[in-house]
Amino acid sequence: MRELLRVEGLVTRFYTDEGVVKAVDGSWFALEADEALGVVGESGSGKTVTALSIMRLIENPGRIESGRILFRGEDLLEKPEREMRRIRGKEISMVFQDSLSSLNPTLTIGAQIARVLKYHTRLTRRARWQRAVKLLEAVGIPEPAKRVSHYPHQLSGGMRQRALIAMAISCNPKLLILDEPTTALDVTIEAQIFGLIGELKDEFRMGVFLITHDLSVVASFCQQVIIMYAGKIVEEADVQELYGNPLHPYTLGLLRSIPPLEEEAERLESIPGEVPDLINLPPGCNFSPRCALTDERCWHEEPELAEVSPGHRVACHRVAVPVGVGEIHG
Amino acid sequence: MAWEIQSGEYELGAHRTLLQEFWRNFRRNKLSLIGGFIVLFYAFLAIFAPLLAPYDPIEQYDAPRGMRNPMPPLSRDVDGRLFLLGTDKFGRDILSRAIYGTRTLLQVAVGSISIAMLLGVTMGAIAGYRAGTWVDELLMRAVDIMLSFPSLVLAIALVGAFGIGKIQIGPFTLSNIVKIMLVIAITYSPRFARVMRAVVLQEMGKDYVAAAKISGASSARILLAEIFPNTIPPIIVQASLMMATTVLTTSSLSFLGLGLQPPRPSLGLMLNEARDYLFWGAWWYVMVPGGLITLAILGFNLLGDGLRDALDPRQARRRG
Repeated sequence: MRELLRVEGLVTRFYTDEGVVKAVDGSWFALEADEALGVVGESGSGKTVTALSIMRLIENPGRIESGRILFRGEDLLEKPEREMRRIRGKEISMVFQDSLSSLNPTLTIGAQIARVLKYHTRLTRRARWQRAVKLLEAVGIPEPAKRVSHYPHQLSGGMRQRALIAMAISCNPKLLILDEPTTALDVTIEAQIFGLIGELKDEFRMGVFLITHDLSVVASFCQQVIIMYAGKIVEEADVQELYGNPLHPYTLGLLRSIPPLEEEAERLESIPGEVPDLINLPPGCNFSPRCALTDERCWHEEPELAEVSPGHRVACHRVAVPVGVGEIHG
Repeated sequence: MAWEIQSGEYELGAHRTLLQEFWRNFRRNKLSLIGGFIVLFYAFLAIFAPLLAPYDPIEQYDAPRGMRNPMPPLSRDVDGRLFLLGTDKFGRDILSRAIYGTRTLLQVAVGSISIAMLLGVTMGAIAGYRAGTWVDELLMRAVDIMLSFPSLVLAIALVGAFGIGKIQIGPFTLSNIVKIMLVIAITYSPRFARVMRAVVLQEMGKDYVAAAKISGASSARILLAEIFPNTIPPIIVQASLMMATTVLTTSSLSFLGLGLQPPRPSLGLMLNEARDYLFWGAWWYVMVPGGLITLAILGFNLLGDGLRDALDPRQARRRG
C-alpha cells in the first residue's frame, strides 16, 4: 500500500469577534491509497474543518496556521491557488451531507456533472454529456438517460446523493472526502450508498476520508479510525483494535452510547456534559470536565497523542504507555 | 383515490421544465394574468404605434366654425376628420398623441430599467461576492447615499446637472430621450444593487457554491455560472416592479417640464398641458393620458407581484 495523504501538525483557527476558535489544534494522521479512514466526533469537533483544510477551502475569518498537508508527497499548503483549483474536483473531491443544497437548483443534474468535466478534461460537449449519463448509471440511478436532464428538486434524496457522488467521482479522484454523506437519508438508502461507495473505492482505488458521527458505519466501512474531540485527535487505531480495545475515555463513552442489540437496555448511556467552547478551552485535557477518570495531572497538563501499541495512538494521561514505546511527536 | 391522483400529478411534475413550472404557477393567479395582459396591451400599442394612430401626433387640425380646440371626443374638424378621443389645445388628435406618448413612455421605461439593471446588478454582484471588503463598503455606502434622496428629487437634481437639451460627449450625441433614460437609470440602479447584493450573499452561503469550489471552479466562474442563474428570478421581479415606478417618474419629470420636450408626444407633458383646461370641463384631455399612466402602473405592479409568487421556487413547491 502507498501513502496517499499525510497531515502533519495541522492547526486551523477562526478569528471571530468573540475570540479565537481553535477548530483544529494539531492534527497528525495518514491515509493509504485505497484505504477508508473514518473520522468520528461530535458536532464542532473539527472533522469538517479538517476536510476543508485538506481542500484548502478555509475562508475568512479562518486560517490554516501551521502544519503540512502532504498529498502524494507534495505539500498542498505550498501550492498556488491556480494549481489547487486543478486538484480540487480532479484529485480530491468531496460530497456534502445535504444533497439538495449542494446541487445548484437552476441547473440540470447532467449540466452540473458536465461542468466538473469541463473544468478538468478536454472532452467535447457531447462526450461530457455522454459521460454524465454513464456516471449516473455507474452510481445506480435508474433510467440515467432521462434523469440526466432532470433538476435537483425532481429527484429523491437518495438519488440526489447518488448524483452528487457521480459528480465527485467524475474525474476519477484519488481521494474522496465524504462529509456525513448519509445523515439526511434513511437506513436502507444509507446501506445502499455505502455499498456503492465501497464498490467505487475498490474499482477506482480511491482513498476515502469519511466524516461521520455514526460508529456503526465506521465499523462496517472503514479500515482506520480517528476519534476527534474539541479540535484534537484523541485516539487513532485500526477498526478491530479500536472496537476491541478502546482506550480513551471519550471513545469508551461513544461506544457505550450505541444502543445494544441483544440486551434490553433500561436506559441509553450518554456522556455527561457537552462539547467545550472552542474559544475558552479548559486547561489541561480538553475532555477533563466530562471525564470520570481525571486526576490532578489531567486538569493542568495537556496529554499528547502517544503510541500505546503499534498503530494505536491515544491522548490520555490515564492510559498507561508501555515502556519503550515513545511519543511520536513532541 | 386521492393519493393516486396526487402521485400521478407528481409523475407529471417530474418531467416539467423550469419554464413550464413557472407558467403553471403564474397562471394560477388571475390578477397577475390580468397584469400580464395589460403589459402586453401596452407593448402592442408601443410597437405598432405608427399603424394604430389614425393621425400624425404633431399635425394640428382646425376646429369647425362655432367650435374651439380642445374639442371633446367624437368631434370633427373643418374637413370632417373624426377625432375619437377629441383634440388638445393645439388641435392635435389626442388618441394619436396618447398612442405615441405610450410608445415614448415605454421606450424610456424599458431603456432606463435596462441600464439601471446593468449598473445595479454589476455593482451588487461585485459587492456581494466581495462582501466585507473595502470594495463592498465603498459601493454600498455610495448606494446608501443615493438611496437617502427621494428618487424624484434625485432625478430632478440630475436633470438640473445635465440640462434638458442634447449634449455632446466626444463623438457621441446624447439626445434628450437618452439623457432622461440615463438620469432615471442612475436614480434607480442602487435598488438593483441592493437586491443583487442580498441575493448573491444569500446564494454564497449555500452548499452548491462550496461544492463548485470543491470541484475546482474559479471565482469568476462561480459568480457567473453558478450564482448568476439563481439571481435572475428576484432581479426580474424587481425590474417589473421598478417599471411601474419608472413609468411614474418619467411622467412626473415630463409633467414638470424636465423630461421629454415638446412637441414629442408624452403622457406626462399632455397632463401638464391639460391642467389649464381641467376646470373648463375638458375631462378627456386629462383622463386619456392620466388613465394610461395609471393603467400602466397597475399592470406592471400586478405582473411584478405575480412573477414574485411564481418565481419563488420554495413558494411554488409549497403550493404544488
